[in-house]
Amino acid sequence: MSTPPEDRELRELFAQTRVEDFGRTPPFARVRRGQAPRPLAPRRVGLRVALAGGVAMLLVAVGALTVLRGPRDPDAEALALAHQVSAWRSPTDFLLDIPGAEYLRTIPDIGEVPPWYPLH
Amino acid sequence: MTAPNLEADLEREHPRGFAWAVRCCDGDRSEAEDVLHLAYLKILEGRARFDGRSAFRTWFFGVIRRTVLEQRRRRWLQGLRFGEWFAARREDHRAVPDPAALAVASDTRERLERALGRLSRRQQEMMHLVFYQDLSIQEAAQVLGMPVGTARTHYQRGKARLRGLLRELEAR
Repeated sequence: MSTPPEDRELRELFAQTRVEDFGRTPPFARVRRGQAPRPLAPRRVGLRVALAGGVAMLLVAVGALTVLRGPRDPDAEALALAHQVSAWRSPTDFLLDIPGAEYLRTIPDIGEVPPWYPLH
Repeated sequence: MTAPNLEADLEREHPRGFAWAVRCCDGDRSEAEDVLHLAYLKILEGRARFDGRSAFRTWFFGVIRRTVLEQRRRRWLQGLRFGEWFAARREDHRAVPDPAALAVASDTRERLERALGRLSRRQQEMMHLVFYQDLSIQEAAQVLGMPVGTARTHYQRGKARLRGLLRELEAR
């Protein structure tokens, strides 16, 4: 089959790269034996071990915390929460104080007339 | 085919097989070497048998391609189990060019690789099989496990696009 002229340029381009590639193909015997250099392999293994160790430690810590804290009392928790809510004060509470507010909190005594009063 | 004959055939096809494996592995030569080793084992241990229905090279390339797909599937499953996807993304081989390849890269190669990199995977494979490996469209279709009509479409579209991209890169 003859090559169309428009394909010839592409074939030549690929042929050039093929010549370069064939010059640096790893030897058949090495590939056959599976002795490819693997610089990244130890790091990957290390990463896996570190990941697995980290996950295991996290699980142990969570388990220990759960055991140490013991079962929770729902009533005690609700009571503590109610105390917290009632003890809370707004930081802008003082703005609601008006001058003379302390007089409004006392009851005036109107049963006695002072001796200096002219109506005696 | 006897074992010594088979080994001799594999050795004869080794450079072409390696180039095809590199293409299937997106330019990662180390991965290509591993894949080719596994393909050799499969063939020599009789797990993949040549039945003579196609040319030896076509069949051999098909074995390489299937091995690449199996390895990818296996790695993906391992990634699911160990959370290695995170590390794999950091070590994205497609993004990191091989230093050895860069050292000897000619302008022609660089231009061709850049243009090829902008084609779809199927088109890249078709261009490689037809222009680099000198297979016919029918043989390329056998390697890729697709109907000849589909292969022809990938070939025509890929060729037109590749030519355009090469012209564009040359003009810069």
